[in-house]
Amino acid sequence: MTESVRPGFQYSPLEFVERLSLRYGAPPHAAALTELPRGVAEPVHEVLNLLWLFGTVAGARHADRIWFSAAEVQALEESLLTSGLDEAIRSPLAVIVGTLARPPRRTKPLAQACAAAAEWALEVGARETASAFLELAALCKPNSARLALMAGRTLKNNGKLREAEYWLRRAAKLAQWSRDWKTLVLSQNSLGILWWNQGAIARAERHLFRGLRFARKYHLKLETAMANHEIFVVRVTSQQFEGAEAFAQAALEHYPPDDHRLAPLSYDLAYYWLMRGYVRRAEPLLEGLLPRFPDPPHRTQVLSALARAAGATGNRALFDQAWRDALPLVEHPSGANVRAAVLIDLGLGARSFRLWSEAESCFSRAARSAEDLSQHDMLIRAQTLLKMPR
Amino acid sequence: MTLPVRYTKAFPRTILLHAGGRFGGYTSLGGYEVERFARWGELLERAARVPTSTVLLLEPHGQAGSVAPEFWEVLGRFRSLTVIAAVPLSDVSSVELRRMQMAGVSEFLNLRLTHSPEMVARLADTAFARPLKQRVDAALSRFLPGDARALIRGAAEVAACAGSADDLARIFGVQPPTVTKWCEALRLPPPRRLQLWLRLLLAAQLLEDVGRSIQSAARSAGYATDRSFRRALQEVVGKNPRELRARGAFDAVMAAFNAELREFRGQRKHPAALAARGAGADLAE
Repeated sequence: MTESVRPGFQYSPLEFVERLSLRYGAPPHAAALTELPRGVAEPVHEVLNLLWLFGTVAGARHADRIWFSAAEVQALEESLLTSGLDEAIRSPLAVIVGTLARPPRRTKPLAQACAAAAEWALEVGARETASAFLELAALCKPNSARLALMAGRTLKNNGKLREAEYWLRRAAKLAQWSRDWKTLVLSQNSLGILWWNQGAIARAERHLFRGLRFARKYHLKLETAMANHEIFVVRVTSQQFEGAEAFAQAALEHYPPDDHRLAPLSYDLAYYWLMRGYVRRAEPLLEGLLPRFPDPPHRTQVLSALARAAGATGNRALFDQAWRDALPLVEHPSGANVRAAVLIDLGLGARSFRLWSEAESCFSRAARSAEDLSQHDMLIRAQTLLKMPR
Repeated sequence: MTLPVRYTKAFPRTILLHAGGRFGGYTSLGGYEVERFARWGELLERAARVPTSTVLLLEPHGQAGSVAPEFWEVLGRFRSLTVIAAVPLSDVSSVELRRMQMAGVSEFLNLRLTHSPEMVARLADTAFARPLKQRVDAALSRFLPGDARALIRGAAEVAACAGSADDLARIFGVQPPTVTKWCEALRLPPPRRLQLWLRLLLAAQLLEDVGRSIQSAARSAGYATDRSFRRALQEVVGKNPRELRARGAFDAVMAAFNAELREFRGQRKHPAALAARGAGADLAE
C-alpha cells in the first residue's frame, strides 16, 4: 500500500492530487497511435511517452538522478532532427526532446514547443494528440497556471468537459496563489462557459461574476469586457432577459474598437433579438455578419440563427440558402460543443415552413449530440420540441 | 510536485520480469520487490496465481525480432493483469503498438533509453491496477465528476493491494475522516463501502480471465476464502460467482455499483458535507 507525503501546497484539496495514476484512467497520448499515419505516429508517440514520463518526475526532489542520461536523450533528439518528418512537427519534437535532455533546470521552451506541436496536430486533424501535447506540457510544469488554463481550454473545446473542469479549476487556484489576476479571470470565465455548456446556469454565473469582480478590481479592461460578454450570453440563453442588455453594453464599452470579439458580440446581440422576437432587426445583422465568420463552427451558428430568423420572417429563399450552407458544416468535428444548439435552430426554422420531417430529424440529432456531451438543457429542449404537436 | 511514494510492509508491490531480460539482474526496483520467470511457459503457468498487486514487465520481442506468441497468450488469457511492454519504441510500428494497447498493455517502457530503477518504479506506479481502473472508468456514469473518479481510481489501487478504507486515505496523504468528508461531498458511498465495491469489481474482473478458477479469483482479490467472496457477492449483488461468470461478471457488478452511485447522487447533501466541499474542491469560491 502506498504512503504519501503532501506536495508543495499545504492545504491542497482533492484536485491537487498529483499522482498521474489517480488523475488519469489511461495516458492521454495513446490517441497518437490511432490518429496519425504510420511513420509519423511512432516518433510523435515516443516523444509524448517521454513527456508523460517526465510528468511523473516533474517537481520531484533529485529528479535529475532519476531521469535518463542527457546523452541518450540527445541521441533521440538527433535521430528526430535527421528524420524525414514534416518540418512543422520535426522542430517542435526535437525542441521538446532537447529540453528534456537537461531537466529540471531549463524547461522553459517546453510549453512553446508543445503549443507548436499541438497546432500542427490540429492542422492534420489529430485533435486528441493536440490535447495530449498541451495536457502533458501542463503536467511537466505543474505550477504553471497559464499552461493549466491552456490545457483546460483545449479540452473544453474538444468537448472533454470533465477533464477540462479539472484543469480549469486548477488554473484558477494556481493563478490565485501566484496572483496572476489575468489568468484567474480567464479561468473563471472558461469555467463559467464550461458549466453553461452543461446547463448549470447558477454555477456558470457564479464563476463569471467572480471573474468580473477580479477584472474590475485589477483594472483589466479587456477581461472586464469578456466577462460582461459571457454573462450577457449566459443571461440570454437562460432566458433571463431583464438587465441582460446592460452587460452587452458594458462589453461594447470595454472592448477596444478593433477587437476581433466585437463580431461575436454582434452575433450574440442579434441572437438575443431573435429570442425576444425582434426578428426583422436580427435578420439583416446576421446576414451582414456572415462574411466575418469563415470558420465552420462559428459559421454554422450564424447560418442556423439566420435560418431560424428567416423562418420567423417567412423569407423562404433566405431560409433555403442558409439551410443548404449550414447542413454540410453541422458535423464538422470542431463544432461538437455547439452542434445541438445549431440543430435546434435549424429545426425551428424548418418548422416555421412546416417541413416536419426535416425539423424532427434536426431535433433528434440535437438530442443525441446533447446527450453525448452531457448538455442537459439542450437535451431537454430538443426532447420537448420533439414531443410538440405539428 | 509528484507525490513521493513509499510502501508499507503489509502490502508489498511486486514486479514480475524475465530473468534473462534487461532488468533481470535487479533485486528491487524503486519500492517494488522483483520476482523473475525463466521461460514464457513458466509465466503462463504462474499467471493465474499472480496477485493483483503485481506488475508484469515483459519484453515481447525475442532474438529474431518478432513478438513471442506467448506474450499475446498472456494478454489474451489474463486481461486483468497489469502489463508494461518493454520495447524499442521507434523500431516498432504504430500498428503493433496499437495492437498491444488494445490487447491490454498499460504502459510502454522505451528500451532505447536506460531506465533507472526509480524510473521503472514510477512507470509501474502509473500503470498500477490500470486494467481495473480503465474498465471501471469506462463504465462509470457520465454524471460522476472528475474528483469522484480520482477517488474511485484510488480505491481501485487499494483494492488491488487488498487494502482497507484507511489505506485509501493514505494514498491521498490525508486522514481517514477527510476521505469520509470527500465521499459525502461528492455523494459517493462511504470509504468502507466504496472499498467493498472495488474489491468486488476486481474479483468480477478476475472471474472473466480465461485461465482462472473462482477460488483463485477470490484469493487474488483479497478474500480469505471463496466462501467469504460468495457471501459478499450474494449480499451486494444477489448472485453467486457461477451465475455471474455465465452472464458477464464485471458488467453485472458494475451495473449494481452504478445503481448505488445513482442512489447516493439522488440524496440531498448534508450541510456538513457542503462545508467539506467548500474547504476542498471549491477552495477559491
